[in-house]
Amino acid sequence: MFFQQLVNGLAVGSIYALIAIGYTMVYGILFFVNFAHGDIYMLGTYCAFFIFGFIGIETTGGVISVPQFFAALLPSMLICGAIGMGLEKFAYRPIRNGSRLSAMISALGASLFLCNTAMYLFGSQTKPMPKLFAGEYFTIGGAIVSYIQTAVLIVSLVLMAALHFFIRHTKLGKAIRAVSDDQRAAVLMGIDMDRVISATFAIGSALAGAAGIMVGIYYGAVYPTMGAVAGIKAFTAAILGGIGNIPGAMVGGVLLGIIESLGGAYISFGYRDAIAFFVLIIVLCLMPTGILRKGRT
Amino acid sequence: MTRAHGFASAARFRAPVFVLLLAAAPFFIGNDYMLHVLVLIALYSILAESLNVIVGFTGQFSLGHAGFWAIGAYVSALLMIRLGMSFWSAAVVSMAAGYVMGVLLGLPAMRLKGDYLCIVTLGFGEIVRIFATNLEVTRGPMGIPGIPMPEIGGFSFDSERSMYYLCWASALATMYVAAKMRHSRFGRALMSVRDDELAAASLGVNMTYYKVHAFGLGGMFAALAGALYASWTTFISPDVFQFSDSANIFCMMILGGLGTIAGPVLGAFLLAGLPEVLRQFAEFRLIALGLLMIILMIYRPGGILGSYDTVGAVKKVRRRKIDREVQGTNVTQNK
Amino acid sequence: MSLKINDVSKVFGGVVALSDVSFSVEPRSIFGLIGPNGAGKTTLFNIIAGVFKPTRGSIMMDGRHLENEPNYLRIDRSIARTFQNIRLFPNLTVLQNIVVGMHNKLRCAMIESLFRTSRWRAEEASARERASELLDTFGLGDRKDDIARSLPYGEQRILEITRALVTDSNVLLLDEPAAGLNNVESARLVDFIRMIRNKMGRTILLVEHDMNVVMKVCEHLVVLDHGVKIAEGEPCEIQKNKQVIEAYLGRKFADEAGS
Repeated sequence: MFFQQLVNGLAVGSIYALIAIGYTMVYGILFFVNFAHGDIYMLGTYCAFFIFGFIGIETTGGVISVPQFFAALLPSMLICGAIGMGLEKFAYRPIRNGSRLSAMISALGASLFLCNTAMYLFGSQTKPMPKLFAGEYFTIGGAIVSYIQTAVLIVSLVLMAALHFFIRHTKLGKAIRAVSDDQRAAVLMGIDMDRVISATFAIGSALAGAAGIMVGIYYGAVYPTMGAVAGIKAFTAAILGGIGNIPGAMVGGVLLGIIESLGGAYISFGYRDAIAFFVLIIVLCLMPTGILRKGRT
Repeated sequence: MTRAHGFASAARFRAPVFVLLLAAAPFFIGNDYMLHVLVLIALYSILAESLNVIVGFTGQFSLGHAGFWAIGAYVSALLMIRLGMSFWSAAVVSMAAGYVMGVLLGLPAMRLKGDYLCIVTLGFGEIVRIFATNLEVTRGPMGIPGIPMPEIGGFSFDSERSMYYLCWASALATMYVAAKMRHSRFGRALMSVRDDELAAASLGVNMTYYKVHAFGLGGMFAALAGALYASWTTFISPDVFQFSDSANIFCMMILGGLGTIAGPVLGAFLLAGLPEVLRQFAEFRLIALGLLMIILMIYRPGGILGSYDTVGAVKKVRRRKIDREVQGTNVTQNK
Repeated sequence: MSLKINDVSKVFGGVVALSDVSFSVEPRSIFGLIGPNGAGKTTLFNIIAGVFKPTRGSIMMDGRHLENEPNYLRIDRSIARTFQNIRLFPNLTVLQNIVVGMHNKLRCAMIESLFRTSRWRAEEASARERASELLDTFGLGDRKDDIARSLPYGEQRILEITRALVTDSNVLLLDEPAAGLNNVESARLVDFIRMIRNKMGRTILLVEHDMNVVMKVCEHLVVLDHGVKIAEGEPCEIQKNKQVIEAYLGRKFADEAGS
């Protein structure tokens, strides 16, 4: 049972981690919480939903193949990245020199806008998503591991590894790191802030889009308000890991997923989310800046 | 002559006009639906005004205000139904409960700042909702129906109009407390903590005490709104008290003008009133509201009535960062 | 009301910022704490003000240990301070800033302000009156209803010192009071500090970089270098002290000055 919950927690946690990365990257550079991030994740799921419809897959009870999955994943990530960049340009760039409070309200406004636009365009009812691998599974040490869980884990890990490589070894990645380390110095060194911030939003949103598709397939459902809960969870994960810290967001996401599954299984399923928040509050009171604090390299 | 003076005298002039308008309104509004919306605005005014004590006066982030609202509603409803208490004593007990919960939530505020405090308060709001959903005594997701209405000496507040007066009287009382608080030792201590914690401490202000009690007071008035809400709608369930409500209350306070007295009420009129009035536009209204929030923050970042210097607050954050750097270099040079 | 610093040391993560510094500040003196950049002045100042705890040693006021008390209790021990980069309450009015300085003197609970009790009205009126009087004395009388952040820098400095004065503390700690002031403002500051001591009988301990101001106003100096006290005495003695010149200007100048 413990091992089973660990597996479940790992799969959900890796999705939280993907969304948390977006929160943490934006925070690392602009020092505010992008509340609309959860809604971008929701739009990612809708992108996949329409792409599956477009390539003629029955969404109710339909099964997609691995190539079809990637055929939806990549365009959805691109679209979400573009939405993220647009969001930054229209809602956040004009108030970049304002206070963090106005940025926060603008973000809440953007969230309201995206969520209700989705409701208007796509309807508020829950829509079914097709399955990947039609529920096939294998067992390790008594724990049932479904193919979809494995796929979620692998895709998440690959995306995180790609992000890590990008941040460490490309010019733009280094610029993002420089800006989140010391904005003034970075600008003085000739780094184009607008470009770095756009890129940050694009990457974070693309990852959220990827998370959106995987969640849609994992739970088999898509609805306009799905971003709110996932957003809160991922934000929690980002804080848990030490906001502004990318590896921290990954660790925080996985940790949150595991805490939730174990808490849900051993303590009470209904209080699963409350347990996650209690752990968060205790962690913050003991370590006020999260598990991995943002440090200079 | 000066800004601060102008605001004070303008408020003195407007307050009686506002009260008179409110008192007269039911005689001109024929339909119960409009009165219903105005009651809702009164309750949100209490909520936004009480959050203003925590955020606008004391400078502490809080995104879990719906949690206090829920505590007030549930405590009051349960006391009335299970113990047969009157609305008035139930409301007082629920306010006490709100105060205690506020103080408890304020404790982490001693150590946490900004976004960390945000997530802890957000977590608090969610925890309250999750408990309401799972506890037996709160009947879980089914909620509590049949909550009695307030009664006094045989008169029952069972009409929309009587609840209108009761709720607006409470809202005005909350505004009065907030307004008077600014001219008390207590209120000035809160504002000094908001403006500069270190300077406040250097003058003998015990920061912890004031932060904790600001949360307590905020929680107390939000609980009052909860008690009123429960008796007004006669039914409560966990769905009413979502994170989106906490965020909504927060927005009302900011849009109207952080740290002002009339601002949160104006915000309540905008964010609670407009969507109801524009109901025929269905989904468009919330889309437009989202856009409005963004546009307001671009063109009027201090809120509509804002005098609180939000840009200054940011500069303060930056200055502190520089302070830290300076101290850091001092240390390294001491090698 | 004498302030004693006994063998104070401070270590920041292995870095020794102060080692065994001792001195005592006589009542009604104008006492200067100086030293080159990074000498540990600010660290010591913050320890006296209660922002840091010393690693070893003690801070005594009238025979009472202060080193383990939180900073907000310093006012109860009759010690008030100002800040190097002026920390007013920027969104409050000038008058309100002063009234916050009377925090420990006011007694009315919040509830009294709600019912506007006669005690509350009397207390508020006398607080305002006293604040207005002080502001008039220091030439800020006609700005009392302005928002504090709108004041020019020099006046902000005066306001900050006035706010510390209104606490009626016997000891005033001034952290680089002349920082950022021009010559005219500095001269005004020197007069201001003298007046506070002469007319109000306060003790003043200041940390300062501007040697002009220090030599003009201080009666007694302690010099720190690399966390160690290297000299103590009257300004004219300190000016001639070889070790001090060496600390500030290097050995070459010290030898020249000595020969």
